[in-house]
Amino acid sequence: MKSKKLSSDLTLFKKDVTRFAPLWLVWCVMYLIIGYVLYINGRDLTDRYDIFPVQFVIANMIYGFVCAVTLFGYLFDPKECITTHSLPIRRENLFLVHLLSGLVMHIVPTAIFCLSITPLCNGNMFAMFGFMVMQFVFFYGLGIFCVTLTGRKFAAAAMFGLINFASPLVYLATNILYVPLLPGIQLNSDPFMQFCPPATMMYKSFDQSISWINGMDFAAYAQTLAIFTAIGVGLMIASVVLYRIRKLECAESFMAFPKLNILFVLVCTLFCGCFFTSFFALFTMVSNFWITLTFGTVIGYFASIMILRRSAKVFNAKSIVGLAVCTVLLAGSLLVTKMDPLGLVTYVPSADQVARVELRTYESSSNCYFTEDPEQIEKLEQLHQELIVQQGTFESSHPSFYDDTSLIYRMKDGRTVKRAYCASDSVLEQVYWYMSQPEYQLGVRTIDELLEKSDIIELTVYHPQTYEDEEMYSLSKSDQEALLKILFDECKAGNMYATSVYYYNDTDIDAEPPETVYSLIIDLKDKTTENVYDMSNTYHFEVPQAATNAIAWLAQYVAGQS
Amino acid sequence: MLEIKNLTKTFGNFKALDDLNMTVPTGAVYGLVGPNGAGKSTVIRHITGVYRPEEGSVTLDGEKIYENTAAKARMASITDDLFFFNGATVEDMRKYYSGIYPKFDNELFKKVGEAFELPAKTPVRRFSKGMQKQAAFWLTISCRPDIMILDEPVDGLDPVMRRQVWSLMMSDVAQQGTTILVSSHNLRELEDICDHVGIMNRGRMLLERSLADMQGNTVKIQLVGQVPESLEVLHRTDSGRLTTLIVRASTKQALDVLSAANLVYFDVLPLSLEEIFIYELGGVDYEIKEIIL
Repeated sequence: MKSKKLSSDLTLFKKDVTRFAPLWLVWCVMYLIIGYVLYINGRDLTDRYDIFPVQFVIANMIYGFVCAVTLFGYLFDPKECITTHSLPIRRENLFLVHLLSGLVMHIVPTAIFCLSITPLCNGNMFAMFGFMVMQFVFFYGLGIFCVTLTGRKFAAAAMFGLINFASPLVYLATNILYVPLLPGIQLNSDPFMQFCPPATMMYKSFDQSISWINGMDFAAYAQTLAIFTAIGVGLMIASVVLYRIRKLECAESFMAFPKLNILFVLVCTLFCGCFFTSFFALFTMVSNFWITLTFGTVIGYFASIMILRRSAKVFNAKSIVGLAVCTVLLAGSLLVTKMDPLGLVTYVPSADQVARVELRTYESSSNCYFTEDPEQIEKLEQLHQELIVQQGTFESSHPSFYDDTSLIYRMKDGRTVKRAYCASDSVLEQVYWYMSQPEYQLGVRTIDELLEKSDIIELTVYHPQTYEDEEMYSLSKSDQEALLKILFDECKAGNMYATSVYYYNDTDIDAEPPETVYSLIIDLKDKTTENVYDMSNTYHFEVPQAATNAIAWLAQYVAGQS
Repeated sequence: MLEIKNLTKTFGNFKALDDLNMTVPTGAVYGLVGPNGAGKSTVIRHITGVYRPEEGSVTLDGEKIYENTAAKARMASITDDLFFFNGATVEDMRKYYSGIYPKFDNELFKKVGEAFELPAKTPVRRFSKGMQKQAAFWLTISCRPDIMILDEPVDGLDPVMRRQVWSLMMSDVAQQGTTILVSSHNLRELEDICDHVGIMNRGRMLLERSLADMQGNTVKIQLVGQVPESLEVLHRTDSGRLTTLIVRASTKQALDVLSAANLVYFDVLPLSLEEIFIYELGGVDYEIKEIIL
């Protein structure tokens, strides 16, 4: 009997691979096309700062889902489902054979791709192969998990998208619905983005903070992918369990397990409410939070019921009761948030737990006032208290566009606490006073991080009076280190100013500092491609006469380049 | 022997099978009949191991069928909704089934193919409904199962092909001792081939016995005169002085009663399966409504 079992497994496997041959052949061609396009654009496939081509992450994500739906999609078709399960093959065997088929359908095209194109693109072939397979295992496992949970392709796709982008969606929903109820609170997006698998695979590893500056080495990225691979395998194991207990008559139902319908309705209701609230706030004159939220919630609820029942006849007493329950839950959560039981609105970190405080204004997005002096931290916390008391009302549900003052606490335990306020004039005056004091440490938030990133600096020098003599210099590594060190010392000595603050001792905010000798714009650029990673990685320095060492160094450098 | 005991199955709030009991003896040709929605297809799906029994058991020679590859390897089925792979020809399906079913007989496949003469290179999905049924039967019988489960097997076939299919099946039964379970609405055909019948309604088995017993326990009587009270009358129609009765009794019992009743005229007539079906269900809230146009 054992050989008969193997024979039927082999038959099934051969059927999968031959039946879906067009799929994996097309994907093989697609990988080759992507690789070739990257090649003709002169890209290294496993460049240190490119991490891993974004295109392959997206391709693996799509292909993982497509493979899952293709191989396990018989669960969605009653005819095929019944025929397949009447065969003398155990469900576990069916599952495992299809699982293996999917892996083979990825490994073969990937191997062909890596053997043929990776050497042309100066990539590490084995790293490339390993990264692609590990990514695929995660997305494929997730795809299978979504298929076993649902009864229709659309439902599986929706669930796949929802799980992949759950954390950014939760961030958005929290930001749209709950953050406006807590004046001053700014939600840090970093923790959310770290749990978005596609984003993480594209740009980050778990143990590194979000930063365009920081690159990633193979070991860290491989570690990240190993975690995702383990999650993918875990999802496959969970899928086997679900497959065993799944009732086959649920084919064509939206969810394979009816209890999940409630979750679907709640999620639909919530996100529809968020969508309508933000849509109306951004694009129309209607910005009443409660009206748009109610409107969106009702639409989301009935739309989800219609999808589940596949009928427009959903307006009955039972549905109304369901809507009432959803409304109560949502309203309850909003009310609880508004009451602020955790005291987030009035929370000011204790000075002894704070490593550094950064004070920014709306105009100075990249520069800020920062201090690590405990005494100054306490003074800033007093300012914070005043901001809490005097905060103005927000005109929209997107306070981050209208706040003019933000505080960022870098805690000693590694946490980051962000607050943003629309300050009154009297408080704003205090803020500007901080920004204008040269005797305090002024500088770029990441000046100390820049010291680590000396490979990628392009320096633009402007003469502020005439804007003549505009020169651009690419500094050598040793020059970069030397310049950054001098700038850092000048910042510590209080000789540097934030460029966006143009007045010091008077109220003329448009006046340029008269004593500025050099304006430095430091862009982070890749030396090989000259692509700008991110416009926010542009740092401005005003080098006043007081910064004698920096001026001397620059003068000598510029003269040496002429 | 295929045995179903106390089988219950619900779909949401709807009870499709309600404590169903059924026995298909080995080597029998069992006709499963019932009105639309009785639960016949649900029973078949339990027998083929598609559905997991919620309550009760479905066994083959004492072994549970669900997730039992050995038991399922002895079975082959034709469902009412046929499935074939996209673009697959009969030959492709043969290769597939021959790899799955351990007793697949390629010689028999060739022999049956000569009788059916279906196009070899056309994908089965492009066949007509009747041709698809032929293809399904062709593949099923080639699997050499010990038990064949057939849900409306001859639906869509022309009369000649129907006869051919039944003939092949009967020949298989005779030679191989195959047990056949047929679900059908065509009671006239079932009468010719079945030796056991089970009548279902609303998820329950109303009546299950051999055809000979069934036909022996219900008779049609025509008489002129007073109807004897001791007869268990299932149905009565009067046409002038002639009374036609369907009674639950054996022919001998009926004759004895009628002889003693001093009637002007009486006669005992054979009852068809269709008549038994109608009159058995007629007593269980499944009324035949006269449609007047």
